[in-house]
Amino acid sequence: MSLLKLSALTISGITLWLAPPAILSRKIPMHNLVQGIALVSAFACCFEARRTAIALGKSEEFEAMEQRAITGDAEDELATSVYVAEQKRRQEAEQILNPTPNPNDTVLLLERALALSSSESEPEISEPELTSEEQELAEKIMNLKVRGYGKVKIILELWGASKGGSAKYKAAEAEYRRLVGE
Amino acid sequence: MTEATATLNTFVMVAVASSFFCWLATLHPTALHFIRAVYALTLCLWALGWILDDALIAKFRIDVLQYRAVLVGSGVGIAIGLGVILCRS
Repeated sequence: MSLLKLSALTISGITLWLAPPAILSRKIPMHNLVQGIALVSAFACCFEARRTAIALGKSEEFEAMEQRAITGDAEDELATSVYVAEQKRRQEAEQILNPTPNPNDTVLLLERALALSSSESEPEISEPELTSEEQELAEKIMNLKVRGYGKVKIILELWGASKGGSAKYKAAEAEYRRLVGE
Repeated sequence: MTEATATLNTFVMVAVASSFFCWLATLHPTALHFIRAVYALTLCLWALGWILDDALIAKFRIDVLQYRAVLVGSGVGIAIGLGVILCRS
């Protein structure tokens, strides 16, 4: 509608400007007056047409901006949905590749891990380091054992303590046990 | 399209105004003197616009092409408007 008005005003302005001087005579006063009125009308038409054109241009610019905003929103929405779908697919793929165990399996795995770690982490009884004399003594004990000596006989042979409730025997027995590792 | 129409209408407005002033000049000898003075002043301003174009462009920071288009358009519009009334029957 505005475009039609714009075209009509422009054509009217140009016609009112050019037609009267070409058609009417300047020597007839009435014709001269009509020419003046036509010129004023032509100026008014052109003024209004210019104003309309500027307003139309602004509204077109606004519509273009609005269209750009709508397009941008749609693109954003599309990009977001694509991103969400991609993330979902990736999550599903990860779930397929690395399935998460159910709670019962988790409990079993934890119990197994605990059992393994507890068996592994049991403190090993480290043998006390022996001195050279003690090592010699331990070797003698082993030799006597190989020969078929018993504990009492070995204590008697090496410590000179006969079996009984004496403190010397008890100390020797404790020493024997320590060296043998009983 | 709308910008071109607006420019065309601006050009026609200048030409119609020029024709109107020329028509006014035909009504009375005193008006003729006055309109002649107006045209002479306009011509002087137009020529000054061409002479001082660089200074004016630098001072008002306007586009060179746009400024020269306005000068050419206004000059042609005034001349055509004048010619339309002078060449009438």
